[in-house]
Amino acid sequence: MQITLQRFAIPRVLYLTIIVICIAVLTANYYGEDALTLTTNVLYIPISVALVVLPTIHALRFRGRGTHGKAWIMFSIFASFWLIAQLQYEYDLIYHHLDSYPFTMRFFSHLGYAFFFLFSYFYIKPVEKAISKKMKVVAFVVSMGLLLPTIYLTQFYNQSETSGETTELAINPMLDAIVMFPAVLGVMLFFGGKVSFLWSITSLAILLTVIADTSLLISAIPDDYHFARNPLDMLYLWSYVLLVFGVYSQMKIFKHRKMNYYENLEDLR
Amino acid sequence: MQEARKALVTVLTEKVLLAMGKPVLDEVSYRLYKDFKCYIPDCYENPERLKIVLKDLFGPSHFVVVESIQKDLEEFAYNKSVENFLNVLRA
Repeated sequence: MQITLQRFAIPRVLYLTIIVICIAVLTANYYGEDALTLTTNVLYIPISVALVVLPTIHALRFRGRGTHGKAWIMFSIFASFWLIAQLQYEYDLIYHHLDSYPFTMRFFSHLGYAFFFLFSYFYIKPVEKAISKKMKVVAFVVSMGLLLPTIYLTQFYNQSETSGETTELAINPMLDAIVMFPAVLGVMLFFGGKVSFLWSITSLAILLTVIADTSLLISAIPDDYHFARNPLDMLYLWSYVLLVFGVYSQMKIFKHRKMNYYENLEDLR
Repeated sequence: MQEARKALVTVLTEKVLLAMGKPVLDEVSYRLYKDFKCYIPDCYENPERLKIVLKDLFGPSHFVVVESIQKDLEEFAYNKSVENFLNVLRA
């Protein structure tokens, strides 16, 4: 039992990072919108870059070979697309003061989800036979548990607001709910194993993104949108940090081992 | 003949792990060496070690990896040592 609990022990650095982000965002929010925008932008860049760099290094270790190699290439593409989306948003926010989400941001953000789904597919593929009907039902129920409130909220608000942008905002929580399905499967498939940390933390990251997206959906509609930074960005930042630590945990497990298994042939006889 | 079967089991085990990626094979080999001071070929005589390492890494899904090895080895199961290897992995 103790061993199992130790495996789920969250690294202290992760706690600290989450607390630092929380303090930074709340303090900046206290000093006003400009401070909040600056702080959030400054925090987003290194975290998003880390989310691209770490899986890319990990994919290089696999040299793109094997199902896990393909999975990490997909993750790198997903993270790159989200970084592009993030940079596009910040560029428009800082230089153009745009009052809507740019098309390129939405395009790359939505396309990123497809690659995240592919990542899950390739990672889980070698053990797909272990997926039971019960697991599928649980994963489906969890996904629906996230999807249905989003659909309900969109419908509810669309009665009074006929904004196309409302639907646009509702797409993200829906995509989150879809990628939650393989993430929950991952948690159940690898539960107790060393690789399970990635899936537990990824599910938590998706959950945070759903909460943030749905809260944005609720808070945005009555006020005719707040496209600039919002304290809710803290949830996105936490979600990014969780993903970064998830990737890092995999890098630690499958680190480069210089092993010469058959150095002494006599030993093998 | 026994050596040939040991080699066969080794190659098939490595093949299954390599299908996931070289670092996965490296990690399994490293853990076998670190925990039991043995190599993959030694698992022919001590399959429980391979089972422990796979379970430690992949949790309950390790049985699918075991199943893949088992599937390839099935036609050689008439041999007592291979049968024993498969039985321990299955248990």
